[in-house]
Amino acid sequence: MAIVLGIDTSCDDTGVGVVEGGRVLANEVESQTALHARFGGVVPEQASREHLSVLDGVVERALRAAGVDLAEIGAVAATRGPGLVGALLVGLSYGKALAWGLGIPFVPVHHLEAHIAAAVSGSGQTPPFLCLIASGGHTSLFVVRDWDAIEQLGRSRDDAAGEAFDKVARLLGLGYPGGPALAALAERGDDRAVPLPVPMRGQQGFDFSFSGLKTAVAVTLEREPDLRPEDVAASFERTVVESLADVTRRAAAHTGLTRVVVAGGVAANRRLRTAIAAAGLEAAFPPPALATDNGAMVALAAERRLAAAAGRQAEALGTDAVPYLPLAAAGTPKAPS
Amino acid sequence: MGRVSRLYLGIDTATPFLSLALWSPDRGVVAEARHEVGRDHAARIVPELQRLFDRARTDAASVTGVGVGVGPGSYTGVRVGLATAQGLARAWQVPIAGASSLAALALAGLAPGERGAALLDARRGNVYAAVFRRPDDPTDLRLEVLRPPGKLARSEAAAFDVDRVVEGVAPDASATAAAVGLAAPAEAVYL
Repeated sequence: MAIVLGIDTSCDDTGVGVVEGGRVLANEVESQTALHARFGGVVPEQASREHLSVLDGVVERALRAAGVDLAEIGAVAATRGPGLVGALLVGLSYGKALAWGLGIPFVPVHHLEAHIAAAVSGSGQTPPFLCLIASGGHTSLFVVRDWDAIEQLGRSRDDAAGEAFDKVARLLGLGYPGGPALAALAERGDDRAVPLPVPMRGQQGFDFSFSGLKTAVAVTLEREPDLRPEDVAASFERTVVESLADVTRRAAAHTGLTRVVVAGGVAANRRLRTAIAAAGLEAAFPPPALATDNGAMVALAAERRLAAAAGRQAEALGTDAVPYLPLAAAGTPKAPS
Repeated sequence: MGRVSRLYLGIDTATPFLSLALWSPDRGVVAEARHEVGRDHAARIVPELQRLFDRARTDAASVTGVGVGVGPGSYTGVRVGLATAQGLARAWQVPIAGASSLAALALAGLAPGERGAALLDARRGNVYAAVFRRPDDPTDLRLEVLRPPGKLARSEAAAFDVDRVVEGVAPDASATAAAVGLAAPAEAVYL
C-alpha cells in the first residue's frame, strides 16, 4: 500500500497529511485565522502569500510527524478546486513538482470529495449515505451511492452556513472568526426570543440560502437594538440548524437513505447534532481534525483514485486550478475495484 | 560526467511567458525554452519541464540547484514558479535560490557590454523597471544592477539613459539558473 502525501491550500488553512491504506499517519494544519482576523474575513491575496511562505515547512513537519522519509512516499495529491484560485495554485504547483521530482504519481483532488472521503474514514460509514458539508466556505448536500457515484443534491445559493455564522457574529461585535463565539453565546440565550424566517422553507429542491437570514438579523438589530445578544445568537443558530436539518430530512425522504455523514466546521455545532438526531436520521460525525479543511482528507480521497491517476500522469501533471470546480469534473475516474 | 558536476535549473514565470533553462558553470547553457503561455503557467510548467529534460537528454535527478524568478511581475505567476521550485528542491534535496525576473528579461535583449532597462507592464500606466549592465564576457550571465527593480510611471522609465530597452520578450532563464550560486533568498517580490 502506497503512502500518500496530501495537500490542501484551498482557503485559509495550509494542510498537509500523510496517509497509508486509509490510516492517517500525520495531519498538520497551519491556520491563517489570526492573519485574516484584522480584515474581518479571508483576504485572497494574503492567503496565497501565506500558503507560499509556510507550505514547504508544513510538508516537512507532516513527514516528521508521520515518521516517514520523503523517499517512502508513493504518491502526492493536492486539491485543484473548488476554492480561492491563487491559494489553490500554491498547493497544486508544489504538489505536482514534488511528485514529478520524485518520479511518483500525482493525483488532483476535488475539495468536497476530500471532505466526503475524510468523513467516511473518520466515521466508519460505508456508502450509500447522505453527506452534509457545512463549513465557512461550503454548504452542500450529497448522496454518496458509491465511490464513483457521488451526486450533489443541493448547495447554498449564496453564503455558506459558516460564513453566515461569522457575519452575524460580526453584527454582534464578536470579532472574526466569530462562529464558535456565536455558538458559545447562543448556549445562554432563548432560541425562540427573536422570530427569524427559516430560509428556503417550502421549496421543492435541496438548496440552501443564508444571506437573507443574515440580512434579517441585521434589520432586526437595527430596529430593536436592546435585544439580548445571546437571544439573537440562539435564535439565529436555531434557524440555521433548522434549515440544514429540514433540507437533509427531505433529502432522506427523497432518497430513502437514513444515514447522514456531517462534515465541515459547522459539524461541531451541538445544536446541529441534536436537530439531525431529532429528524430521525442516523448521523455520523468525523473527528474535528478531519472535518475541517486538512491535507489528510486529500490523501484519503487520492487513495481511491490512485490506480487510475497513475495511468494518466500526462494529464494529471498538466492540471490547472479551478475555483468553481463541479464534482463531476473532479479528476481521473476511480479504478475498477 | 556524474553527479559531481553542477547543473542548475532556472524557472521564471513572472511574465506572460514560461521561461526554463538548464545551465552549468562548467558547460554554460545546456538547454533553454521560452513559451508564451499567458496565464497558463500552472498547467504548462511540469509538462514543459519534462520536455526540457527530454530534449537535453538529462536526468532530472542530476540537477544540483534550482533558481527561480522572484519577480517583480504577476503575483500569481511568481507564486506558481516559487511553489514549483520549492517542490522540486524538496524532491531533489537541493538548494533553491531567488533571482530577479527583470534580470532574466534584460539578458534576453542585451548584448555583452550593453546597458539596458528591462520593463514589464504593471498596469495603470506603470511599469516594473530596473537597469542592468551585461558583462563583456558573453558567458557571464550575472548582470550588474545599475538601478534596482521598482514600480514607476512609464514616462519616468522612458527617460532612462540606456543603450537599449528590453520589453515584451520572454525572459532568458539562463540568468535565473546562473544565479543559484549567489544564494539569494527565494522570496516573492511584491511591488
